[in-house]
Amino acid sequence: MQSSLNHRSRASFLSALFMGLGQIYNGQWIKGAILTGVHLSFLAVEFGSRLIEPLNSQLGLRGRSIIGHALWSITTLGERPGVRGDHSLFLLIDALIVLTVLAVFLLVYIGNVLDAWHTGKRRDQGLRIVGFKQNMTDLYEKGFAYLLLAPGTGMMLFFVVMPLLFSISIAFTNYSLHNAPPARLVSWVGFENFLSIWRIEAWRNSFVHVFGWTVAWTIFSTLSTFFLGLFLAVLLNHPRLKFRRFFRTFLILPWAIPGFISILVLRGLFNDQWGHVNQMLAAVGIAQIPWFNSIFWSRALILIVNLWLGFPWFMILCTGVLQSIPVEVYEAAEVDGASDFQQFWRITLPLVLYAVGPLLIMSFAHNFNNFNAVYLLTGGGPAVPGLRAAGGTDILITWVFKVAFDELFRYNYAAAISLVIFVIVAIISIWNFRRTRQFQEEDMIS
Amino acid sequence: MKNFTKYAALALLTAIVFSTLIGCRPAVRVPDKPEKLVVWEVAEQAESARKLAALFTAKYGIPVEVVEVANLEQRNQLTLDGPAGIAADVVTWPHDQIGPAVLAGVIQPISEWLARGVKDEFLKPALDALTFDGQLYGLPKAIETSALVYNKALVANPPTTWGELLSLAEQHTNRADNRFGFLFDYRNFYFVHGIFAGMGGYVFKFADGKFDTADIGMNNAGAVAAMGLIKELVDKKLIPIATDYGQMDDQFVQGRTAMIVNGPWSIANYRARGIDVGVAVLPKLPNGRNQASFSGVKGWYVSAFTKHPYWATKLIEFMTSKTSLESRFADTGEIPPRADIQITDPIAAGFLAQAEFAVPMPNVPELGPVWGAIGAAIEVVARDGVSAQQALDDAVKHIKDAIAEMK
Repeated sequence: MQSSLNHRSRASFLSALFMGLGQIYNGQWIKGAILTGVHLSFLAVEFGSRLIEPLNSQLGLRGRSIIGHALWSITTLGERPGVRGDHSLFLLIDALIVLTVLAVFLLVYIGNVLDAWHTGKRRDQGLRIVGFKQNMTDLYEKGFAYLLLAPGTGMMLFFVVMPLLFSISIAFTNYSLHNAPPARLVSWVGFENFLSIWRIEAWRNSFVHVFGWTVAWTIFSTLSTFFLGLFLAVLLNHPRLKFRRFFRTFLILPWAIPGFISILVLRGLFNDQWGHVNQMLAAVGIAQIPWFNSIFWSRALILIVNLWLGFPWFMILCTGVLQSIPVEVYEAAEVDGASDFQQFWRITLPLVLYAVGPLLIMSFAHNFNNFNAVYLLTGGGPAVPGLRAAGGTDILITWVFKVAFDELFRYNYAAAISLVIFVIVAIISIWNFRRTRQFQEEDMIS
Repeated sequence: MKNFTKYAALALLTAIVFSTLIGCRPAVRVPDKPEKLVVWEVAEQAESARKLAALFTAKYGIPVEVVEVANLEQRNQLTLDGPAGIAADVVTWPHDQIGPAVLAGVIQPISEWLARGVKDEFLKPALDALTFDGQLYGLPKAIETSALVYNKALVANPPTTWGELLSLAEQHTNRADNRFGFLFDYRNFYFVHGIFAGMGGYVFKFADGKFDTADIGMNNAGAVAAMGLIKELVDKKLIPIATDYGQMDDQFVQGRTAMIVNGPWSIANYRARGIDVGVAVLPKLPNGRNQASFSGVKGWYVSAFTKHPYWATKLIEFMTSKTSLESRFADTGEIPPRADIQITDPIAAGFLAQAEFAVPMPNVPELGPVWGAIGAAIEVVARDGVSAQQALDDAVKHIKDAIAEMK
């Protein structure tokens, strides 16, 4: 019985050779048959498709196997331009789909090898082999969460990850209105787009201009809404306040109205010439403010409007936090002779920041990409001559939209800039999650 | 080697036979009739298109399906649906998108399939608009341009000269009441092109059915003078800096503004809101010339993906014939670009009169950066007091750079 110690190596070797063989060797017949079936159907699709005529021509295989075709597609992006030739974008998407499915298949394959190894190990240890029925029960009982997550994950793969991969790919091609299928083929250009945006003066100026304002906008818009929200929450939490519920409801209203609508209304209210804001200011003797026709004032305008739209969110959050601070803390502070001001800075603010911190950082990420506030209000204007499709209030995300769809139709540049945005937001988010974990480990109230 | 000679001789023989055959083939070989043709039309005009399609079916026995697709969606959808084989045979959009569509390879030239003499029936500028790189890509069904739209209750006789315009505008302006006599979207190149082109500026030199995109005339003396005229309107506070299309529209609907510059699409709303609208030719410029406003032409084009280009072209011919476009005008009110149709409706006649002086928007994709650059130039001249020459020089440099990057 010396060889029985080697069941795990033999089973995993067999499963690595062909899916399901290891399971059959272990005596798990049904599981083994299913896995073998999966492998067989994979091989049938991979090599059989080109033999079936409508499939072969419809997929444009031209005698290649499916994976072979995907690799050819993604490396060449097509060889014959024209209406009846290769369509680079379709080839790219098809290849991404095939490679995604292949990745899923490989994961299953690895799982199959590991499973054979584990079962083999049980045999080596002289434990009982679990039957198929028991497998299913285990899956249902222990892996129920995974069962529920599986469809969603699958959808994510194809509706989120795939488009993401596609747009990342576009950033490394020369795809623009002037170089688009079916008339022309798209090809890979490496980091050319990123370099061009940096090398060509007008593009560099545009990027620096837009990026600078995006950062300033992100900081000011988030902090302004946070502090106004906190301020109002403190007021609402004041023990001597009457009609608290009324005020709270009242102050949430700006948040209850869809931003899309209030922005368009505010756009009319702030019109330099006919808007009510300037007319009211004129009534008290203040000269017309060029809300939409000066870079400074239009920037101020979107900050003001965003403040209006955004403060209720932080107000509600802070109210919740404030209510959870024990009254005894303040009573103790008062006994120690702390002023109201000191109480706020030393007790309220740190405790609120402790709780709201992670959300504050997510809010930075949100405002970094706050398309509506800018695009619906000023459309990125006022104009700044000499920039590529960028205006005085454009942030990166609105600039991307204008580069791709409004004016220049440089899909490749837009994708490249999007990738930069993606990296920045990803860094903020990752940092945020790590911080959140730190928060959990620390104990602030001790 | 022996084989090679044999094949070469055979090939030569075949070539000779074929060239003689081609020499004596009939002018147009009529291909088999398709099972059905599909037309994309915008929702508002689909009813009229269905009517014409039914007549076509009655005449040729080919069923035609009219599918509603928005104007600005069609090019994108054709790019996606075409290769998949589920797109229409006949599509429509404003002519300025022809260049991008041809570059993308989604529509095809139709001259090969056209019946003789058809081209002569249309207004020449309308056909020019549908020509790209010397090739005709469709037949026009409607022409539109911006003209002077005025409130008859406020202005009895529309101004015909620039001087009259200024004095009428002044007369109807009451700054204390925030009322202005004449408003227009002065930063939108579409609406100011008439002034620029009338004074001698031009976007791209047009010759022999082609635009020379290297020759930009937006910073010549005429263009600078035109910028001066716009600046004068702003400096005299006849037009507030904040004027945009929405505000102009709103003021006109409220009956607070006597005169605006707008296109045929806006009239129905003004009438519905009870404004007694008149349409007139844009006032002559100080140099005595008429404003050469931009005109937009809408045509029907043949998809590059269709299997039946001949019958698709016949359908277009049919839908743009005299009787068809008369029926279309009655149903949709869109002005037909044919010389042989008499227009009696005063509104349509007003726009048609301005169309005589209009030039089609260039249909080359190089027009893309022009909108933003000229708009920005007007804005900085009006807002920051940058000199007209300086602003336009910068704009032209910007346009040239942007075009160079496209290649």
